[in-house]
Amino acid sequence: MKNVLVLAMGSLREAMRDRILYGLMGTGALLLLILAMVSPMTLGARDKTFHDAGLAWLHASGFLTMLILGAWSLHRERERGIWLSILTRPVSRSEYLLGRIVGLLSVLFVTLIAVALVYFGMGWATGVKPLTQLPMVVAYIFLEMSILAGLILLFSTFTGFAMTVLLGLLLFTAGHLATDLLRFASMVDSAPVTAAATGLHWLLPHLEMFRIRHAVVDGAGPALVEIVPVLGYTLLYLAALVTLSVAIFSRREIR
Amino acid sequence: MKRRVRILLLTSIALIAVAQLSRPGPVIRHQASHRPYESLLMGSEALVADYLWFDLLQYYGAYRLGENDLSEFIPRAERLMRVDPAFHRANIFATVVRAQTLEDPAGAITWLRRSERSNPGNWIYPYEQGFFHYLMLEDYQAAVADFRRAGRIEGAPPAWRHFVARITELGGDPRIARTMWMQIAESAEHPEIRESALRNVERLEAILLRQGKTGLTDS
Repeated sequence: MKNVLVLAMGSLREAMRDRILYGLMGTGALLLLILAMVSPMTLGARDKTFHDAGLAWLHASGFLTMLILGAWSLHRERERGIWLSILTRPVSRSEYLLGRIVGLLSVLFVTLIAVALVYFGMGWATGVKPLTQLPMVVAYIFLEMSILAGLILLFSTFTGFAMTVLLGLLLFTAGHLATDLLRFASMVDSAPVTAAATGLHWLLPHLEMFRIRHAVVDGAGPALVEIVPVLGYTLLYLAALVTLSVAIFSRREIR
Repeated sequence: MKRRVRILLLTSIALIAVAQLSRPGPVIRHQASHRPYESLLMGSEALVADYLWFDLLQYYGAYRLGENDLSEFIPRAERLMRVDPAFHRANIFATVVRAQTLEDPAGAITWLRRSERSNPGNWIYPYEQGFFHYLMLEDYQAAVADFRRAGRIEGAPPAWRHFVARITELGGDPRIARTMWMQIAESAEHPEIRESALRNVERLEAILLRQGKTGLTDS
């Protein structure tokens, strides 16, 4: 456990040194400032447009942090031979991967909190009515991006940086279409295509359950208790991805 | 080693199976309008709707300045309402323009009915239909039904009872219409809608004066 925490802290420190996080925050703050300035053009829909943009930025920050920063940090360790030096010490491969996923989740948590604070601050400064369910949105985005972190970890155990990003992006997008796959399967005549679509429906993560931003801005967000099954799903799916990563990584020859 | 890997693989398959079997449903509140491309937008369809809203306002503003006609207003508004059926301000603005500027109240009511189906918990859509049925189509029975439907939804303004009672009692009396236009003028955020409503109030007051009805309120 101690090894896992040390590795996680290392990942977090490394990420904080990267300028991408500050770039994300600066770009988003600029976008919200522009939106606040053009608010007279929204004809009374200022709060809605501000929150739509702010929450989309929050989502994009989590997404880009996990996809680019996550894949890059794992790839960098392999390129620089850091993982070799770590694994020659008394650290098992499963501990190494656990440390990395906890590190990625810590980076994600810090990013989302920082972006949410800037977004909240911008709203306060420009007189936009705050969203009472903002912590709920942050929690749902965190859970959604946790699954992306699991996918990135899995792909980084057997592919390079570009493939990890590409596969992560593809599966994340497909995860948002997982519900539609069953509908698609019922519409096609070909048995193999139906079987493949049904199989993918059961295999892919179902990411539409995390899509609450629109409902929250409309004042119809989920109740607090509704997050419990979503949390359970995320933990189970993430555990599956980490277990699969350990299985693949334990077979891998480290050079 | 191989045995351990096999156990890990089986464990991950079992975990995915349990996760998928116990998976909760999506928390999207507008299932009726859901289409696959919305999934591709990953929850950012509201941003697309905001852009379409800016675009619609610019288009309408250009019409007000005499730079274009409104021939593309309906398809533009349709696109916006399709992308975000819960964009209430845009829905109401579009229906008011369609009913008043384009003089198509029946078409505006079609939009309001669709918005009511997509947002069953929002009283504004049946309430607005009540105004349109009464003031523009002079269909008093439909107006009463609309106000009653709005009254069943939480948060509806208490005035719905008043409208139902007075329409039932007086039918097409100009005093009811005057009260309705007054309420529209008081709640309107767009200056043009407010001015149009106030013009109607003045017109009805002139009629009431000619009819010699005492008092300018119907209550």
